[in-house]
Amino acid sequence: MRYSVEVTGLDKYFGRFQALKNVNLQVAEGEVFAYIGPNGAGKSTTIRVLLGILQASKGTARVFGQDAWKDAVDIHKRIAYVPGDVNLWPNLTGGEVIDLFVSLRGTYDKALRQRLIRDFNLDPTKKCRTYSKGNRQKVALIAAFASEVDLYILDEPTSGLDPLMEQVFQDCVMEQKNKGKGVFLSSHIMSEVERLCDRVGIIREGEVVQTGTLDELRHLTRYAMTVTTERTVEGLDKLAGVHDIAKEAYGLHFYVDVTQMGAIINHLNGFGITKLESVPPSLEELFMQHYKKEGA
Amino acid sequence: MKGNFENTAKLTRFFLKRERVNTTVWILALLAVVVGLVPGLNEIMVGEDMAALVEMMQNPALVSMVGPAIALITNTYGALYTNFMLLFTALTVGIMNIFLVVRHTRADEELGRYEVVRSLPTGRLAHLNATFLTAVIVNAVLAVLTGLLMYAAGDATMGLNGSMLWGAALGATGLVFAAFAALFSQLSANARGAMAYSFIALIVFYFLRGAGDMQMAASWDAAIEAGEAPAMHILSLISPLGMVMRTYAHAGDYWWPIFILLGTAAAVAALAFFLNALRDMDQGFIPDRPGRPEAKKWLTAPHGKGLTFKLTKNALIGCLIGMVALGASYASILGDVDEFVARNDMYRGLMLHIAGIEIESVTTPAGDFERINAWVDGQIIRTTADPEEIVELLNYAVTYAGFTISDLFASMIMNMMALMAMVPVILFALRARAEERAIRTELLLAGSVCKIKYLGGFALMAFVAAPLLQFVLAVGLYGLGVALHGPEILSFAFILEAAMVYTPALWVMGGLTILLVGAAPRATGVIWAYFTFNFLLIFVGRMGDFPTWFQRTAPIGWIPQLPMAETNWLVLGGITLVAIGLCLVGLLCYRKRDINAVVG
Ligand SMILES: Nc1ncnc2c1ncn2[C@@H]1O[C@H](COP(=O)(O)OP(=O)(O)OP(=O)(O)O)[C@@H](O)[C@H]1O
Ligand SMILES: [Mg+2]
Repeated sequence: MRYSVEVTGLDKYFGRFQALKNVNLQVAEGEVFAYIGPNGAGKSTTIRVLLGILQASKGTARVFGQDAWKDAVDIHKRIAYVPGDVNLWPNLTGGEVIDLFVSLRGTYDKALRQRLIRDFNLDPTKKCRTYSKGNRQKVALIAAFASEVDLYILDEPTSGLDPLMEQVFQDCVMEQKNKGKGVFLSSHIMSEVERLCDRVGIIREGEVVQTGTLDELRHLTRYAMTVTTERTVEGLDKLAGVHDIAKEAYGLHFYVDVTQMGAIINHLNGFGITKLESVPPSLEELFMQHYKKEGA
Repeated sequence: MKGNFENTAKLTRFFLKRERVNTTVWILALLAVVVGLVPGLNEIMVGEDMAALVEMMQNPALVSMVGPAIALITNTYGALYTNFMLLFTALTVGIMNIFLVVRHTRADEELGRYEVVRSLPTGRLAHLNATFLTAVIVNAVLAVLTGLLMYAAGDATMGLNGSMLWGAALGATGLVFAAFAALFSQLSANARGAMAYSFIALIVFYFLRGAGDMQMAASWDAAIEAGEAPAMHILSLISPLGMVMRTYAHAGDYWWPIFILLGTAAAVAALAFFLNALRDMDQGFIPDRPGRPEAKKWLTAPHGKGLTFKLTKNALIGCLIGMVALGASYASILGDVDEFVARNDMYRGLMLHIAGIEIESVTTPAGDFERINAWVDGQIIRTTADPEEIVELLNYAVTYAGFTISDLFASMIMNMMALMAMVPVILFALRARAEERAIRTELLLAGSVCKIKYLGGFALMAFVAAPLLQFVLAVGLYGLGVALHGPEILSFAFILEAAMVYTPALWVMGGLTILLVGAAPRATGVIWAYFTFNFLLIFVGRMGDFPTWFQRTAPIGWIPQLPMAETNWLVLGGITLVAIGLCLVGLLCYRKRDINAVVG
């Protein structure tokens, strides 16, 4: 398999503070990868290393097989970057900035640019000084999607967009995904991640704690179950992988580890199941567990 | 409409609180200059020199800059002080008021603070009203303090009435510009526009009165001799900056212009209130001009070079214009240089010492004037007992030493102006760091941009600016000098060479800045300390004798000062190589370092 992003044993220090600890990541070409974690976890730092703006203290970061620091100029012809906080030049218009960014990357599709400006509903004749946060972000997004590149590196790219524009953004990403382009997306918006991403990496306090597809991650967490039976259930609390049992009016409520699901259902069967509900954790719950785990 | 001004008082108190640092510093600085100079200038001006200075105020070039020759009316120090200081101080107070008012009106609106205030139980016009009240209080405080302190610091020719009038003149002019700023804050839809229009108004008013004052410059003397109250031209009087001079503070003390100024302020403010009531929030009456929907080709030049050019272009043009103007303004006094220098100790030292000339006043042990000696290269070449002959003595000494007074003057100007030219050169190189601080560099470097070439763009701008600045300085000085005083006063080849030899020193400062940006981004402020060192070295060094090695610790100390020294191309070439070396090391370090790392 060919990787668009390959990070091995990456450490990054700011003075004595270690922002990244032995980070390992692999993103296949054409894959949409979500990079998530709490504030200050090191997402932006990783991305800046990938962009060759920060130099790795230890380990390697490669993009398209090339060294992110040494070959930055070459690599950047094939990537587009959108940060969460877009600072622009107050006396340039949005249109000028879009043209500037696109031309710095190389290829340029004028019709696409016009279409994106329309879709994102941006007035390109206004000076950047008068743009709101969301509008500045649109400028960077339009410049990114109007470029013909192979990998989009997006760091909380929609933190200032309204739901309508969020939709336009997601459509743009889907379009690139269908074209086989890769996306490296850091985001706090779970619905976005759920809809767009093939794989997820979770970083906490500078360490990558999980990577995998959403399904794989779900397997590592607990489902919520509600059950009603003909006879009173006994011995449930003695089973491995059962947590937080509560007797409710509508039946028994508890959480199970996915790995123990079969054994638990077998046990319940002995009491005559009349109704069984099992709810997979919502993404929010899933991430909440990962964000808090160990730290608690 | 009842309730339009609801809660103005509370808002005013709040605004004054917000202003406690900013405006206090402004007022203290203004007072320090205006009052502090009263005794200082007195020492320099009063005495034998004063008649010459009063005479000089009639020079049309000076009249166009500082206003009509008020000093002529009474021939007193107080009048001379007003003549020198009032217009520029009033102008500065105008600037303070523009900043103050735009800060609280359009800028607040742009930042969304106005919205919050409006959502509270405040009147529709309360915000503007409180802003204006704040300006009234600030200007009143300034007026009273200026008046009292000036009276306290002044000599007998600065009476209480005249001093209070001085203060009132400042305050009233300030309010006029506060009102204009309030008006333009309604008209323009953004703070930058409001600021720009206000400054344009200020500049137009300044030039309007300049034109009027020049018209009267010729007849002014005759009118005073005929015993008439000297009149001012109508062009001057329709400008608040002309009207402020009409007070003739310390030279007749007329109060009526104050009332006209206050009336103007009230009328303009009323218009601002009216427009404020009319418009919606965030709207203006002058529409924002739509910009370019697409970039011009040059803006998208590779490695951010087009952008760098765009970012520094306007500043460069502004500095070039400023440099021409500075050169030209010095040219305007070229004809009177001998008079001017003969009577001014400081200029005499700055200009003559380096040429080996000393004009020495000898006094008796009792402190009375005895004679004046002219020294050249350590020998007394002529002496006189008549103080009136100092100008001839000076001219003789300069000729004896083999120079012309204009050349020596030009040489001094070049020396000082090279220091001025350093500022933009440093700023262009520092711009790279400013971009990084504003977190815009990484957006650019995320494109296919080579870091060396990116920073190289700023270095290039600094390196190109240096000779351009020196060139236009020479053109300004020579151009107006020859236009006013005839072609024989200066030679262009000499002026050009005297200016251009400083270019390598400017390059060293530019290269050093690039080195700091590349190697020590958090210590870029060091360049300003080094600049100050250059400045002191030159300023003090011209009057005294620093050892050569000490002079050589600053790049500008290596530069030959024509006509005393000859251009040594080898040395200039060496300095240039040093500059390029510094720059290259800076670029290499820049490539090796993180962008925007706060620590390490
Ligand atoms: N230039 C810097 N100098 C010093 N410390 C830094 C620097 N940049 C980041 N850090 C620190 O490194 C840690 C990781 O920061 P980073 O910006 O990568 O977090 P993040 O995961 O992007 O967070 P967020 O979700 O808030 O964007 C933080 O503790 C931050 O304070
Ligand atoms: Mg971040």
